[in-house]
Formats: sequence, structure tokens, C-alpha cells
Amino acid sequence: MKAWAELYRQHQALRAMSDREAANDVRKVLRKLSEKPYAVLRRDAQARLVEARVPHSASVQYTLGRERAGEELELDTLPDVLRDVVALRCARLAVLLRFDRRAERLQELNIMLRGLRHDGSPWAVAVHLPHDSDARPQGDRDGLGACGHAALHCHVGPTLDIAPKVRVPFPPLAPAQIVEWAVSQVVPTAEFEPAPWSAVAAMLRPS
Amino acid sequence: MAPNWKALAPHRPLDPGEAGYVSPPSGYAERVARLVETGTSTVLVGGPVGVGKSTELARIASLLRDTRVACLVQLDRYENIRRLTADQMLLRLAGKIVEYASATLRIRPSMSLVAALSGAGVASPSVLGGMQMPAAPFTGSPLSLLQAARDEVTRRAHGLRLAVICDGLEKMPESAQSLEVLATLGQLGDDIDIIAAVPWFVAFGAAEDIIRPGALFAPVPVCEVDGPQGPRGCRFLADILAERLGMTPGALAAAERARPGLAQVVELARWSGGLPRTFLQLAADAAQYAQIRRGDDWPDERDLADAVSDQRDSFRRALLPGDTDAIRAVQGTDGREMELDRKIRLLARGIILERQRGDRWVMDVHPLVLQLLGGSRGA
Amino acid sequence: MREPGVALAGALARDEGGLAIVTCPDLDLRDWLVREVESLAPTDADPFRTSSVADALREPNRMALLVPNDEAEVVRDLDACRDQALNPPRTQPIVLFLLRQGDGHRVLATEAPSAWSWASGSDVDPEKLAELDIDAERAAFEQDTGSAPEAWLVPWRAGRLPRTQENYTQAFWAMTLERS
Repeated sequence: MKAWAELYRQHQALRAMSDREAANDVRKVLRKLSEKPYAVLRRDAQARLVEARVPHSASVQYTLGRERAGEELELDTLPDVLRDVVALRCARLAVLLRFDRRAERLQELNIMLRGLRHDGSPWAVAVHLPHDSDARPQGDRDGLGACGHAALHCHVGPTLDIAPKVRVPFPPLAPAQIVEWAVSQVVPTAEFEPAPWSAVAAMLRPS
Repeated sequence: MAPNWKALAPHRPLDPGEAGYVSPPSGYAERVARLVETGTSTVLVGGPVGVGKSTELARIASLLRDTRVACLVQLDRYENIRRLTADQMLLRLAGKIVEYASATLRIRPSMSLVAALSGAGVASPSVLGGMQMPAAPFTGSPLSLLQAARDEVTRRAHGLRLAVICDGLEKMPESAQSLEVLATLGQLGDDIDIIAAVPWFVAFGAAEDIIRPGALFAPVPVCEVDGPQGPRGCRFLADILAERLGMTPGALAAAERARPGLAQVVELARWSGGLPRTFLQLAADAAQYAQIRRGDDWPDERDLADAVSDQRDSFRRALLPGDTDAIRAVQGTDGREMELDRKIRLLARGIILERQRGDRWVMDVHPLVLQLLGGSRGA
Repeated sequence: MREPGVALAGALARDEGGLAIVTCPDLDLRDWLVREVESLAPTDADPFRTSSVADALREPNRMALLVPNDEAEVVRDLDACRDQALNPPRTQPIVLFLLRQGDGHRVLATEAPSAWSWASGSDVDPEKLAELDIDAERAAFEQDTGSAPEAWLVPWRAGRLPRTQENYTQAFWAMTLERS
């Protein structure tokens, strides 16, 4: 119980961030993913993270793509050596972030990747942080509890609806890192690993 | 093959002799070159920003090269024009005349001349040719150095007359220092033809005669893109686009026809008001939207609409309080009732365009500004 | 709607080695917009910050983020030195940051036609572009879905719509447009 409460506290703490800083960090990840030698997103993906502000309110949102529908990963154009380990024929990445600019608070996060395996069967992964709006009586506490339905959680499965609905509790990572994580699941190669163990080990070494 | 939109480079004029020149409907450069060859020794070139002054000056330099030592000096590529002094200009002209003679006419300048230029800090690497010059600074007068350069070059060019085609001076602010620069240009001697881009205040003030009495002020006309003459202007702009993209005009037209929904070149041309730079900026901007949004090689109508909005925003930011009423009042007149400062500012930016209609000059409003004012394009 | 990031990236890329202007509502947002441009710039643009036109011109192969101390002077200098960017030809743009109501825009409008012309169409006000036209977007939503955002959200919130990526996206957008 204590561990789940602590995780929930961490998810609450995660929400404190500047939208501009978070968006710039996401752009840097998108830029890396759209430049050679990665180029798993079309060029200039960082420019397609669209900021939209609701007039006379503190609400600001960032979405990937003009129509918010996200972007196809360019799996076909990966070098052969990388393509061989990719289990999907196609995949679409969507990024939906909502902030309260005045409160410097992440209100809602949806980072989703859905695609088709080579045999045509569907596959999806989605990280959600529900809206913590005052208008919702339960706030961001969906489901029965912090274990079965952690605030920041991840669905994995053929679709997001199929039973059992798996909701994996997610560590309190920032939006940019969640984008990195999602893509690393689809293209599981060293090129798409943002934290190789050698680098992690070096950081862990006492200075 | 995908077009290389980067090659549009709206901000880059063509250099003399560079491939891709398209003659405007006015035949401006040919006309000025003919005037110079038949005895008009001073031509002051004006026109709004982006009309093609620099490219036309480069073309004039090319056209005069059979009959003149025709040296194009792009002062603004070397000097901060705002701070340019008469002496700096004279030294720069001397250096460029010798550089031109050396590179184009294969005239090797004398050691003494090279040493003097080097001492003045205006000897180009091609003139120095690896020579190590003594570090002695040049202590003579800049005018005498220019005269020495002129005399040596024209003598060794078998008496060909020198024509100095001067670009960049149009950026000078209205000041006593600028007037001195212009007056000094006029002191170069009657045996030198001067074709120079000049600021607008020269055209409308008492400064017109400051370079040389009787100088001809010849603004580069903005081509018509609407009305009976419109098709010629649109074709001119489309040809520039095709040249810069490395396509034939036919291939460009075929690409347009092949893709329904594609941004139409004639639309771009009309929104540009006939200004080549604005036209190329619209095309390049629309192409950027297409590439960034969809990875597409060709812009569609939405990309074009957004490029037009971008340009319209720029025009809006250039308008000052009082401009709206003044622009409405001047439209269709010869402009004499508009206060001079406002007229110069609006003409310089192409917000109002002076056009020849029949035998009279009338003030036309740029189509993007017209839209801001609530009118319709081509009205 | 012009997407602010696309408009900004397009302005940076339109003219190779050209001049782009980023309009900033205030000094705090100017700092943020400088960082936004840094995050948008391609890696090989190698952006650097400077307050001087001369410094910007000295580095033709790096994106110069020109953040003036004196906007008016910088604009005048750019107007007078602009063509030095052609000699040698720049491969990366100069990005000038100007306050929306500041001296730089005033001087562009009154004294500096050359600089104004070079940047024309590449002077972006990203903060302004980011503002939604709610009425237009609501009309578009109704046209796409056949219902108002509030009506669309009723079955979604009741769990009666499939939890697909498309529906999550639609719900997110409907909540943006929802009238409280």
C-alpha cells in the first residue's frame, strides 16, 4: 500500500513543469528521431509539435501533427540491419500534452503508438496521465486504486480496449523520455536506445 | 525529379554574366545600357526593395562590357553602408576597378598600384596574387588613388571608357554624410560613366543633381501582374521561377497541370504585386510549408494561402498610424498630394507601387496591402 | 491555422543564409523563444547566441541567434550590412529576436526597408499564431463529427466509445474546445 501511495505522490510531483521547457525537450527528441542516422520520423518532426493556446485561459496544448493524429514511423526506410529486428510493418506515434501554463502544471498526457505486425495483426502501446481537472470529481484517480490503475500508466496489447486491459504503472518520466521509450519499444536497437548501459554505468560510477 | 526550392534564394541577386537572367517586360537593363552607350553618363537607379535593382545593375554591367570597362561595385557586400564615408567609397571603388581589370580583362596592375591598394587595405587577394606587399600604409588622397587606378586601367584597356556600376548606396540614410558620399561620386570625372542605385530621397528631394547636374533618375519598373499587361508580367515571374529551379518554363507548366490542387504560379505572381523578391519568397515559403508538413515536393493551395498570410503579416507590421487613410487616398492618383516622408517610406517598401498606365504615372496599392485594407486584389 | 512550429521552422529554412525575425511579446518570452528556436534548429545548424551583427556575419556557417541589447541599432546595422551575408554566401540564417512593440519593429517600419524586405514573410510571431480560433475550430469539429464537442464527450466519458488512438485524440481535442 505504502509503495503505491508513494508512486502516486511521484506522479503528482511529476506534473510540476513548465510547458515550454517540456515542449522544447520533446522537440529535441523528435529532432533526433527525424535526423540521420535515425530518421524514423519524417524530417523536421520537431517543427510539427503544434502548440495551441485557448484564448483567455491558461490552457495550452501540444500535439504532434497539424490534425493531431500523430505521425507514421518511417519503418520502411530504416537500414536493412535495423529493419530485421522491427516486429511491426507500420506504426503511428501520437503525442497529446495539455498544460496549465499559469500553474506550470502538466494536466494530461497521452503518448500512443499503434501499428500492425508483419502478419497484419494490430499492436498498441499507450502511456496515459489522466486530466487532473477540478471538474472531474475523482480528479486523476481513475479505476479502483493506485495499483490497478496508477495515474501514469501504460497500456500494452493488441488494442487499447481488449480484455484484460493491462495498465502497467509507469515511472515518473517526463514527456520527452516517454516518447523516447515508446519508440525504443518499436525499434529495439542500439541506435534508438537513449540510455545505453555503458553510459548509465559511467554515470553511476562515483566521481 | 524533385525541384530544389533552396535554389530560389529570394535574397540573392544574380551576378554579372550568371546564368538564369530573365529580361523583365520593361527591358530595363537593355534600355539603360543603350542610354549610356549613346551618351547618358549618369543614371541613378531607384525602385522599391525587391524589384530587382541589383540584378538589373549586374545585367547592365554585362551589357556594357563590349564598349566599356564596366565594373560592378557591390559596396554593400563590403561596407556598412550606414557608416560609409566618401573616402571609404573611393578606396573601395579603386580596389574593385583594379580587381575587375585583373580578373576579367587580364590586365596585370603595376606593382606600385598594387602596393598603394594594399596599403589602403582594398587590394583583393586575386590582385595581390600571393605578392608580399610592404606594410606601409597608403597616405595619399583616396581620390588620387582612384584616379590612378582609373588611368592605369583605361590606358591598358586600350582607351575603353570606364563605367562604374555602383550597388548598395540606396541603403544610405538621409544625412549630411550620405550627401557627401553622393557628391563625391559625382567628382570622379566626366570620363567615367556612373550608374548607381540611390536612395529614394534623391529622387524626391533637391539631391537629384548632387551627383552630377542633369543625371537621369530611372526607377526599375514593377511589372504588371493584373489587367491587360498582367499575363506578360506573370510569365516573366514564372520564367524566373523556372530558371532558378533549373526547369524549362514548359516543364514547370506541365508540373502544374499534372497535379490538381497544386499552388498556381499565376496566383503567386498576382499576390507578389509584380515584385520578383516577394514572388520568390512566396514560392519558397509555400514550398517550406509543403516540405515540413507533408514531405511534399510541391506546395498545395493551403500552403500558398499560408505563405500569403505570412507576407501579409509583414506588410501589416510595416504600416504606421495614418497610413491606411493615406494609402486609400493616394490609390489611382499620381501621388503628389501625399506627404513626402510617407510617400518615400511606402514607395521604398513597395506598399504603394508607381506604375505607368498609358501616358501617366499612377500610384497602385500592393495587393497584400489592399487586402489588409479590406479591398480585393486587382481592384 | 498556421502551426507556429511549422511557420517558425519554415522561416528559418526558407532562404539559405537569409534573415528570419522572431517576434516576442516580452523579454521573458524572448528567452523562451530563443530556446525554442534552438530546439527547432537542425543539429548541423550549430546555433549560437550573439548580440552583435558583426559577430553574426563572422560565422556564415552557423545559425546566428541575434538577441539585441539595442534593437534599433541592430536593425539599422542589419539594413546597412545585409548584403555582406552574400560575401561569402551564408549557409545558415541570422535569426533576429525583436519585441512585438519594441524599437526594432519601429525601425524596420520607418528606416530599414532592406532588412524588412529580406525578412518579409519570414518574420514570425509564434505566440500569436499559437492562439486558437475557438469558434472556427468548434465549427470544424462539428462538421467532422456531426456533433458539438460537449455532445461528443458524453458517450466517451460514459465509456461507450472504443478506446482507440483516434478516439483518444478526438476526446483530447473535444476537451480543448469544450465550453465549461
